[in-house]
Amino acid sequence: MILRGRILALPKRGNSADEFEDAYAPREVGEAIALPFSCAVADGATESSFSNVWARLLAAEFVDCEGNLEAMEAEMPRLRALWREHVSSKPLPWYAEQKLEQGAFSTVLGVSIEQADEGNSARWHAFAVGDSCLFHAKADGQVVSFPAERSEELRAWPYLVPSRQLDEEPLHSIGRSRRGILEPGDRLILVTDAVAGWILKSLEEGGSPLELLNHATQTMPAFLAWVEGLRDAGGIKNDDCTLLWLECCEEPR
Amino acid sequence: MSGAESGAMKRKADSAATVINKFLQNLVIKCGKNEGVRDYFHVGVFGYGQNVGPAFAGTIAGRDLVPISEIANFPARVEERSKRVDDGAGGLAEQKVKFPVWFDAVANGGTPMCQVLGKAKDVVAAWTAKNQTCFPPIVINVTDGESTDGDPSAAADAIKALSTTDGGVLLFNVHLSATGASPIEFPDSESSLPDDFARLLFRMSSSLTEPMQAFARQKGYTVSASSKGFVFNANLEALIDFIDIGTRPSNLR
Repeated sequence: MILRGRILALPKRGNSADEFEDAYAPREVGEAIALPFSCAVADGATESSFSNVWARLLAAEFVDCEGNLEAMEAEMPRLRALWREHVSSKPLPWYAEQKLEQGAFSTVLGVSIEQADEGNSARWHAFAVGDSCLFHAKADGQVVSFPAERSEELRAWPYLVPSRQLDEEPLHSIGRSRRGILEPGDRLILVTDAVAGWILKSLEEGGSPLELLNHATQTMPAFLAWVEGLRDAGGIKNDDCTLLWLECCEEPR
Repeated sequence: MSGAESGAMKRKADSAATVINKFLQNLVIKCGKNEGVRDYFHVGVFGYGQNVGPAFAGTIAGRDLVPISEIANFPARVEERSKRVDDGAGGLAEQKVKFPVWFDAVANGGTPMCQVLGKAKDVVAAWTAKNQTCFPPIVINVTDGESTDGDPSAAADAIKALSTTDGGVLLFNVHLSATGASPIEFPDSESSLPDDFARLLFRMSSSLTEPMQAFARQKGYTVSASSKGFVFNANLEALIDFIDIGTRPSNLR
């Protein structure tokens, strides 16, 4: 099996690209991704400073560790030190210094995919802290969502990965894991909470959001137009939007 | 706003000033983002005693409403105060902290609450006329004494009658008593309140909105649909938690 991927990301309306607080890794995905493959999205909390830096570190580390949670856990002190080093590199006004004491917070949702032992299927393993969501759209039309299964589970105050040493808790104790099997024709879609909320709500209303989303994400201008239209109509929360789309294809012979 | 009873002890006026300075400090930190401060709020502070009017000191003195970024950058002075923090070994350690001051205690004159609520109404009416789609303003009346210019109920009602498209203006009251009575936060009935003046302030206060009730529960307060934005002998820090500007991690402390 190979994967065909695309990534789309848009800042909250009214914010510049510099203010974008979602993150994703890898930075690019191709049309013929070989397995094993790992990817991640992360969403830095609005109410913490330098959460974009923390989100980028978390997403990149998941991919560097190829989804191995124990390996990522071992790297957390180094990640926290990197964040601290980044934010302490220049003098800050009193309020920014006091805000830094609270640390930064971010979701992380990572998926690693490897070839199954037999046939043309693959195994996926996902890990999530917070409200970024994975959707597994099976070729037969079934949709599995993780970790949220209902739109009301996307709360304004999720439990997130903190950058402060003081709050350190093992990742496995604050996150959730899930496994599944991929077949050719299946899709895996990783999204941050704004798009996740729209997908879940649409599924609850009996819609086919992933078909709509497939069309809306073929190009960046199409994605921008679609998100802006939904924002105008109040159909999606005005927040950063990130989507990492993977299609499972049979390997060309 | 703050009222200081004629002839009151300076300590009472000081505690009102500390509550307000601490509130402004926490609001600035809440809006702090990386090196700067986002203008989520415009804030006015009005003193009432011998005079009724804008109470900021320093560069922003004399102004009615000031963007929070200017408040952050122009405290009248930054004091160094000591606070006791967990030393990580089961004890307490003294830590020097920066304490910005925008507002100094003034303990003279009466407590012309009707007059200051009238002034607040004028300022809020002008703001809501220009910002009809925003979250409605919150007026917080901090007082350590009874009104000396009559029953303030009608003035309170006039503030609460103002609105934006997002709802009615909220009026919260903070009553600082010199009696050392136990703090009461967000009560839902008058029965627990110690005197007629506290009961009057309770009746003048708006109910907490539904999202605020949800935040309050998440923070461990016991609240009901009838809980009011009223605190007795307590600070305003909880109110800051109730103001939603975006994703707030539940593990942020």
